[in-house]
Formats: sequence, structure tokens, C-alpha cells
Amino acid sequence: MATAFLRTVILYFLIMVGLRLMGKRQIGELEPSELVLTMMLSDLATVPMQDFGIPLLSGVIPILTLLSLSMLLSQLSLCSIRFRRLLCGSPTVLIDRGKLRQDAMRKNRFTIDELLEELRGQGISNLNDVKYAILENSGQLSILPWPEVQPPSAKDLGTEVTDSVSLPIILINDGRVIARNLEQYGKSEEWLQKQVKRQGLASCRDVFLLTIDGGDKIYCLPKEKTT
Amino acid sequence: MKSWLTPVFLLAAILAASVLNCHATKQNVIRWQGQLEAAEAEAAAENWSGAEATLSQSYDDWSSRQTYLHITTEHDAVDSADAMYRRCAAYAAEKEPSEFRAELTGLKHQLWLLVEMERFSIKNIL
Repeated sequence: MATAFLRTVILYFLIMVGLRLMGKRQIGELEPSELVLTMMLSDLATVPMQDFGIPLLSGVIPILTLLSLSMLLSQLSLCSIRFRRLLCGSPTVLIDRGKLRQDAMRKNRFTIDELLEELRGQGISNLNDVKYAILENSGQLSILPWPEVQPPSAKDLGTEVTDSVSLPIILINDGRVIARNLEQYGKSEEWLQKQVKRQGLASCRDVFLLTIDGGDKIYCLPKEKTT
Repeated sequence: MKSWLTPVFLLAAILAASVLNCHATKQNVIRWQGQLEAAEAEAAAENWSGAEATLSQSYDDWSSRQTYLHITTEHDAVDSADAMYRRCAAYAAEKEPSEFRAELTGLKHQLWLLVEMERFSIKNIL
């Protein structure tokens, strides 16, 4: 029992560190090599977790080897475009200027049904509306419609727009003051206390979320009372 | 430090540790086999007390490496060898020459398997 517990704890943290090293990409956006790595890691970790007849090292060593190889290949693919193409492949244009490239579809074993399904998923019902369709390395299909079927932008309409978008900075997160953000924004704790009082709250501990954007606009969400 | 050096260093460290482990296992097994051959020679000369003592020393030496062996080698292989050591000791105590010799041969072979399992060879890799 203790062996199972300790082995699980060790392997869990090893895998967590490994996946953290892999980067911030989500499972759905993994490159083929990363997907293979993820599957192999999860499989390798479970064997020494359940079978106490083999040493923990026989699980740890393959995991460390795979992670090291993955990191090394990632670094090499950063250095060489040719190597990156070899490792990750390159995107394939399935529809080029409205023309369906059947050879590319055959080569990627992408059926017309799958293509139509992807188009419907992105709100396009007519193949004629598509100028480019690109099959990305992650397996996702990027679709670029013809300009006449795209919704017009403010630029297209010649309308002047004011830039009101700014990144909100979190100053209080679940009752905790994020001192680094406060300092970065050039405000003091006293100023923050005043803002909290202005929202009708007694202290920062009563705030669930407080953010401020570039236009000094404050958004405050009080904590719900727990019963 | 260049970021590609970390994985290269780690891979090199794993490879070096594997080579060292193979070497260490081989050295240990050669020593244990030498001790077992000495016990066998004593048994052949009808010196059973000497054979028992040599076997006991070999078992103590073997036991002192148990933690290392359990960390690096499949537990089944180590446990089998341990059981064979005990059976050899029992046959030596009972002064049973044929069983003792047969069990000792099996034990030497089992110990050599520990080396074989760690060896860098086409047979193991494929």
C-alpha cells in the first residue's frame, strides 16, 4: 500500500514537471510528436505504479529519456526550419483560391465529409465561400472565406474607432492583494483600500476579484457570503 | 547556458548511469560467482563446514547489495537468486552433494542473468 502511494506521488510529480516543461499548449493543439510523447508518458507512468515487481527506476528512466529527447528536438526545431518541417510536418492547403485540391486531400487522407463537417463547424455551409482552407500540423482546419462573405470590419466601413481595449490587471484575487501588480500599476495599498471602501466593502478580504484597466476603470466582484 | 545543453546533459547522465550500472552488476556477479566456486570446491573436497562458511560469507555480501539490486533490477530475478542462495545453504547443511551442486549451478546461472539483463546487446535491445 505504502509502495503504491509513494510511487504514485513520485510519478505524478515527475509527469507534472514533464508536462510543464512541454509548454502551455493544450492537448487539442499538440503537434504529432507531442501527442505521441504525452501518450507514452501516461502509459509509462502507470506500469511501475501498479506493478511492484519492477523497480521504480524502470519507469522513471524512460520518462526522463523521453522528456529529454522531446526538449532536445524542440530546441533543434527552433534552430532549423528544415528539421522543424521534418519533425512537425508542414501545413497543407486543401482549398487554394476556392479550388479544392483533391491530391492534397488524398495525401492527407482527409475526406470530403470531414471537410464539409469542419466548414459547418465554422459556420460555412457553402464550399464556394471558402478562399483558403489549410490543414494545420495540429490537425485543425483553418478556413479563410472570400472577402465578400466575411463580415465587414470598421476599417472596411471607413469608420473611425477609438481604442478602448486594454488588458485588465488583477489587483485582488480571492481576498489576496497582488502586490506586484499594484506596484506595477503605480498604486499604493492605501489607494486600494479606498477603492474597496468606495465599493461598499470593509476590507480587501471581502473582495473576490478586483481589476483595473488602462482607463482606470475598476471592476469589483465582492465575495459571496458562505452559509 | 544554452537551453539544448540541459537535455543533452540529462541524456548523457542517464546513459552513463546505465553503463556504470551494467559494469557494477557485472563486477558484483563475478565476485559472487567466485565465492560460489570456492564453496563448490570445498564441498567437492568434503569440507562441508568450509563450504557452509564460504556460502554464508557470499550470502552476506549478496545481502548487502539487496537495496541497490532492488532499485535497479527486476525484483523477481533478485528474489529467485535469493531463494536459491537459501536452498544452497540448506543443502550444504544437510551435506547433499548432488543437490548442492545442481542448486549452485542454477544460482550461478541466475546471477549471470542479472548481468545479461543489464547488458548493452542486440539481443536485449531487440
